[in-house]
Amino acid sequence: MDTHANDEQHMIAPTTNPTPEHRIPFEFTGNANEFFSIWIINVLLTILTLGIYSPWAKVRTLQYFYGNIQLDGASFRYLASPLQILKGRAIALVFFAAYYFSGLISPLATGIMIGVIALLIPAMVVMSMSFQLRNTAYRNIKFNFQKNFKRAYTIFAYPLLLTILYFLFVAYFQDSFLPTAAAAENETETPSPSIFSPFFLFVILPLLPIVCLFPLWQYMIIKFKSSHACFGQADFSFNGTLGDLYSIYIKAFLVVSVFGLLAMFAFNGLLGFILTLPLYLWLLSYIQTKKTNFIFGNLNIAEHRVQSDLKVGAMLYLYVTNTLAIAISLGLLMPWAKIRTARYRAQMTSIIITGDLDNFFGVQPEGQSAFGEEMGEVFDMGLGV
Amino acid sequence: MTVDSMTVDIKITGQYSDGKTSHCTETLLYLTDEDFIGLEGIDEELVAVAAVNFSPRIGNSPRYVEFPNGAHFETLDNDGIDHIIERTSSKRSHNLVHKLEKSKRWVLSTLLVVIFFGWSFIQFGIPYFSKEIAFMIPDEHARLLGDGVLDSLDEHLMQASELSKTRQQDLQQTFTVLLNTLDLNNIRVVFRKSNTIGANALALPDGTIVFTDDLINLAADNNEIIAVMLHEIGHLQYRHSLRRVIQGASLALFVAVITGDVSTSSAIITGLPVLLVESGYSRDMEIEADEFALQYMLRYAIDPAYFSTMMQKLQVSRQCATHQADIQECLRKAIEAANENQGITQEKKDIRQYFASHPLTKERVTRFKNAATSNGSTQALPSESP
Repeated sequence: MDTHANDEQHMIAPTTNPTPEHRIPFEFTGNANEFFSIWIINVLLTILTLGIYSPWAKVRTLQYFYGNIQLDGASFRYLASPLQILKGRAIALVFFAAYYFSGLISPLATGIMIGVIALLIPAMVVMSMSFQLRNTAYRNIKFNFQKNFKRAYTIFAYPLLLTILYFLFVAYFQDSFLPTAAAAENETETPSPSIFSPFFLFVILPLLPIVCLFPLWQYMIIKFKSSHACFGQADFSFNGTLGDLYSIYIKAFLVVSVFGLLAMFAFNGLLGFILTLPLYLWLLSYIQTKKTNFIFGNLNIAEHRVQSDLKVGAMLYLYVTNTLAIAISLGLLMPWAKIRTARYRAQMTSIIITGDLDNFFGVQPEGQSAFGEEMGEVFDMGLGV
Repeated sequence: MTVDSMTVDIKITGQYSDGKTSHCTETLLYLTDEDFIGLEGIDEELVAVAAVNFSPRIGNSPRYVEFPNGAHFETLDNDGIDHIIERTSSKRSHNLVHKLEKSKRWVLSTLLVVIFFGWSFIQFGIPYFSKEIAFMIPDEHARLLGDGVLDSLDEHLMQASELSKTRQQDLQQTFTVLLNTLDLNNIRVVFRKSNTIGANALALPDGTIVFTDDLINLAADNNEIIAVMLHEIGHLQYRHSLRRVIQGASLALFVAVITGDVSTSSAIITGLPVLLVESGYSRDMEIEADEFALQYMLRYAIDPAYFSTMMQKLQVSRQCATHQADIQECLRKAIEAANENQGITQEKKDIRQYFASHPLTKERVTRFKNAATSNGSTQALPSESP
C-alpha cells in the first residue's frame, strides 16, 4: 500500500514540478524629446487656462509614463479621469480656504481646523493608495487596494500616543529642569549646557526612543500599504523584515556620524562644513535607494516576486546631474531628467516569474469611486512614504 | 455578420486581453469597409466602430481600443489607430493636443511663449499681484504677521540698549515730530544693542522700527538717522514683509505648476532659481524703500546726502564686523572715512550681487548724491559732533 503511494507520487512529481523561475525586467520606452513636447504643451495650456488644465496635464503625463513601462510585452495604463482629479483639487481648495479663514476668526478655529485635518490624514493615506491603484491597470486587469481604515488609524495612533506621552513626561518633570524663580535670581550666569544637565536628561534624552521607533512606524506603514494592495483578485504580500529596515537606518547613521565627525575635526570650520554636503547628498540617496529596494524587492504576488536592484552610486549620480541640469537650464531640462530617472528605475526592477503572468483574474467592476478618493490623490503629494 | 461578407481595409497587430484574466493573445485588429471592427481568431462577431473607444494618442506610447464587453486591444501601431479614427469619424478635432505636440513649429513657439510668459510673470506679475493683495488685507490683519517677532529677536539676537536715557529721549522726540508730520501714529521706535546684527535698522511688520546702538553711534547727525528711519518707514508703508510672504507663496505655486509636482525632492532642484528670484524681489523692495526716503527728504528739505553718508558708513561698518576687528575702533575709522568721502571700498560687480538681498551700496549712494546735486542744495558732509 505504502509503496504504491510512493510510486504514485513518483509518477506525478514530474508534472507538478514547478516550472523554473525566470527573470523578466521592466523596460522604459519613453524618450526625452517626445516628453519635452508633451510637457511644454502642458505648461502652455495650464498657463492659458489659469491652472484649470493642470489635471489634464497630470493625466497626460502619467499616461505617457505608465504606457511606456513595458513588462513581458504589455504596458501599464493610467486610468484616472482629469475631472476626478479636478474635483479632488476643488475639495482640497475648500479645505484650504476654510483653514485660511479660520485664522481670521480666532486661533481656536484654526486649532479645530488643524485637528480635523490631522484626524483625516490616515483616511487620506488609504484613499490615496486606493485612488492610485484602482487607476492602474496591466493587461486589462486593474490593481486595487483594500480600504482598511481601522488599521490605518491604529498605525497613525502610535506616534500620536508617543508624542502625548512625551509631553506628559516633560510636563511632569518640568520642575527638575526649569530653574525656579529664586534660583534664577541667585544665579547670575546660566550654567553651560552639559550632557548631564537636567534639561538634557528630561527633555532631549526622552526624544531618543521616539527617534528610534521611527523605522518601526515606517515599517508598519510599508507593510500596511503593500499587503493591502491587490492585482485583480490576487493579493500582494510583503516579506521584508523589520531588521532589514533598521539595518538601513543604522548603517546610514554610522556612516554619517563617522564621516561627519571626521570632516568636522580634520577640517575645522568652513571646509568641514562644505565636506558635509556630499555626505548629506549621499545620505539622501542612500536612504531613498535602499528603502525603494526594500519596499519593492520584498513584494510578492501569487508565485512571483519583485526584484529591485537600484544602486546608491547611480542614484546619487542621477540626482546630482539632474539637479545641476535643471538649475542651469532654468527648468527646461526637467523632462529629460524625469525620463532618464524613469529609465534607470525600470531597468533595475524586474519580476522573478514562476510559470507565466497569464493567471490573474480580474474583479467584476463595482460602483466606482467612493467619495473622497480624489481628495486622497491631492494629499498624496505630501504623504509619499 | 462575418468577416467573409466584407472587405478588410486596415489591419493592426497587437494584443487582446478580455479583462477577465491577465492572459494576452497576439492578434490582428481589422476594420471593414463598412466601419466594423473585428479581432482575428478571437471573436467572430464584429463591433461597430462607434461602439468602441480609442484611448487618446500620447507620443508613441501604446494605444488601447476598448470594447463594450470590457475587453481591450493594446497596440503600438499609433498611426494605424489614427487611420481608423480619421476614416470613420467626421470629427476633425481628434488628437488635437497630440497634433500640437508633434508639430516642431508649435513646440518651438510654445517654448518661446512659455519662457517669455514665465519671465514676465516672475518679473512683473508676481510683484504686482502681491502688492494688490497685500493692500487688500486690512491693516490690523497685516500687522498680525509681526506678532511676537520683537520678543523672539529680544530673546535670541538683541539686548537692551546701552544708549543714554537723554540720547534716547532726544531721538524719540525727533521721531515723534517726523511721524506727526507724516501723519503716521501707528509706528513706534525701539533701541536695542546687538553684536550679531551690528549697525542696522529693522522694520517689523507690526509697525515697530528697531535701531541698533551701533547704527545710532555711527550717525554724526540726527538727519542721518532720520534718513534711515524714512527708509524703514518706506518698508512699512509699502507692506514689504507681507508682500515678501505672498511673493514667496506665489512663486512656490508657480514653480509647482511648471514642474508639475509639489514633492520635497524638487524643492532642492528648484531651490537655486527660487533663491535668485527672491533676492531680486528683495532688491526691488530696497529700491522702493530708498525711493520713499528720497521723496520725503526732498519734500521736507533734508539733504539726500545724509542718506548716502549713512549708507557709506554702514557699508564700512559691515566690513568691520566681518573682519572681526575691534568694532569701536573700526566704526570710528568708518565715520572718518565717510567724512573724507572715501567710504566706498571697491565693490566688484560679480555673481554675488545676484544673490544679494540689497542693491550695491555704490548704486544707492549715487542715486542720492545725484538727487542732492540736482536739487541744488549740495551740502558739506556734517562734521563729527560729540
